[in-house]
Amino acid sequence: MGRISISHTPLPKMSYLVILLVIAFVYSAPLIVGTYSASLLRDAMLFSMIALGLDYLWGKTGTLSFGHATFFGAGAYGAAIVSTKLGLDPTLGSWLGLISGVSIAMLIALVVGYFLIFGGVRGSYFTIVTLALAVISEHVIVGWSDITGGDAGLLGIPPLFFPTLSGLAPLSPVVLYWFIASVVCLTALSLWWVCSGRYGLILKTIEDNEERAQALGHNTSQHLLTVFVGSSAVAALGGALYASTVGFVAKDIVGLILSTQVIIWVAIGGRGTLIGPVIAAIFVIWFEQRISSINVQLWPLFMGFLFILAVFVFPNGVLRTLVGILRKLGQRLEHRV
Amino acid sequence: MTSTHQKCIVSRRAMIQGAGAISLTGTSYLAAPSILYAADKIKIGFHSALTGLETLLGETQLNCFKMAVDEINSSGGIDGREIEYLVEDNQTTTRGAIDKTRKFIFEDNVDVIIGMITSLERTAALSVSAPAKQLLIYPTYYEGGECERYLACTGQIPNQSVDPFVPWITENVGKSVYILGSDYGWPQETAKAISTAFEINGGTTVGTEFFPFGVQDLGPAMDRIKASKPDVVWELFAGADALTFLKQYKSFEPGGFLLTNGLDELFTTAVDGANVEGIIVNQSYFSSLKSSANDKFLANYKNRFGQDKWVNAIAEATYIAVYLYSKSVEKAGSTDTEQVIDAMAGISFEAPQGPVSFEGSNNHLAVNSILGRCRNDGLYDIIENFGAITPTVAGCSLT
Repeated sequence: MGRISISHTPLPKMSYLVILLVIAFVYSAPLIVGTYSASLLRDAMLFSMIALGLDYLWGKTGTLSFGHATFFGAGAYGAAIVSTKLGLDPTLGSWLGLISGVSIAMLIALVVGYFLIFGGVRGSYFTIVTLALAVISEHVIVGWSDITGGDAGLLGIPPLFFPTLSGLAPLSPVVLYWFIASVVCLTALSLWWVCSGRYGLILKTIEDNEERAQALGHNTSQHLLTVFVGSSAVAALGGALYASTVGFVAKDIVGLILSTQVIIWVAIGGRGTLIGPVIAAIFVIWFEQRISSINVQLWPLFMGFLFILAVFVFPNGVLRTLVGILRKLGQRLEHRV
Repeated sequence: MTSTHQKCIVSRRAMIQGAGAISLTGTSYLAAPSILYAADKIKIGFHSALTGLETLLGETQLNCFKMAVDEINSSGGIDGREIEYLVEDNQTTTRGAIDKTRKFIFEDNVDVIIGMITSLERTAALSVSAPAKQLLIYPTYYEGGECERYLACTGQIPNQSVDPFVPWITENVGKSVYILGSDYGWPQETAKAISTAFEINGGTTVGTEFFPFGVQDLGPAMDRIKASKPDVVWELFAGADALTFLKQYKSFEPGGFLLTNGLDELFTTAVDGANVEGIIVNQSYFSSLKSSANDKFLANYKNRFGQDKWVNAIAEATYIAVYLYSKSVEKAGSTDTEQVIDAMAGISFEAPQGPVSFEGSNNHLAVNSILGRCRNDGLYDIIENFGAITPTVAGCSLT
């Protein structure tokens, strides 16, 4: 009971200000930081969708998936294959690709999730099976090179076309950036809104004690499957948008390495906060690019150090720790007043 | 008034430069003291496979790149302008190549990009650089077929490697070929050129197979080679996978004379001599070439990077790429990309491999085609030199 009441304590006013500032920064960034940095930030936001999806699953129900990059990859490859290989008009193909990418990923999640969750696979066993999913997806991408382009990947994916005054056209880089920022913000806000009410409490109950949740009359397997498919859809949306934005997909966007990186993002950002993993993902990817420009060998060391720091110093995530400090400060100020 | 004003600008620039230099400690900036000419520097971005599958080749390529830049700078730069360079690692991945190309163009504002090993890096980088109308010089031998104003190639393409090589094979070795390689653009397209050339010369292709990067077990493929009894086995494996192939080919001994246009000193000196002795290779350059230009080039390289080091064709072509760019800027009298590209056509000079000249109609270099037989020490005895061959790209007319 105690943990639930804590999560319902309203955030201190200062943290709303912080969130507003972050959003203001994200939206004004392309006007300040230059084209290259804005494109880095844009791609980082798309990758942060995997973290967002994983946090919906791991943070809200306690079920860890080691294969979430698979869904990002399925979304990206689905979009890429549909929009380039079927000979469709690019104005239509790009949108059809987006929809098919997300649908393919959801279908994979539905099939895999159904057999796992209704088969009673829980906890570490679930994690291990999803680990296999990541490995399999990587092999499929490399092995099925006629369709997926193998090690070289697929190039020439059309951008999304939007109706403008002069007919259908791709967005300018800055507007595209704002579009993607809006998609990420809206997805994060919707997930937060969905999980903040009674539904969030049901998921929390399942995390704490699934048998009791069942005894209370909840179909826990169905809830878990819904969350699993939903979280994979979020990751896949990021992947499909990534394919059309960057114009290429390659095997490094599926598989084990990316899947583990996502877990680190969520751990650093704070499991269950939804916005924390998104911010962590963006920062980590940003630093990766910057640090690897200075020295290639430095990055893995830095990443490892960050993860250890996250586990030992900020076990609740950097964001929660910061909010905790802010809350204490706020209380002190109130006492003084 | 004007002079004090200018002084002010210079000192502010000096301050910014100084601050930049401090904040960029550790990056590969070629720091230069001449602040007055800072705006006049020519900036080259180099990104290549410094980690990942092609690490074996990336380091020597970078060394030759640096050597060419330093040689040009120490002889007064390009028309008195110093070259400054940036180095990035694309990890032999599509994503890395795109990211680093974007960085060079949109953040660092480089004048030209040089580097890359595999075709997948080139295609990925080109998907960013060509729409941005930025010149990219690609030095590695590849499958051919690129017809792009903003891309210049200084390595062999099949009409310079496969086409002169195959008639020599059908005459001296045998008429049936089995082709194996990595599963991506360069081996796939080169295999087609090989099959076509064998057909024209009265030979046949008895098998073609491709394997994903990082392949470990080639045993089943060796059995298939054995069963089809080819006269010649042509391997087209990338990077570290080529070493895996060489070792397994030696231990299985499936028969067939091993030939390729995809091996060089860096591969064959990295494995035991018994694995590679006798292999016949076609390249545009070998360390063992005897000429005053190559003696000087190799001596400089060894003095700087180590007496036991060797240079391969890709690295030498990278060295050429820097000189090609330098000579084009001198000819154009500007670093304006359009003018530089126009100036490239017809440029010719004496490279370590011999005379080379740039073909403006398809933006490829007329490079040499040389056959070497691998010795036990991993170096090559030159057995035939077809000379410089004009590159041809079907249907391409850029000028």
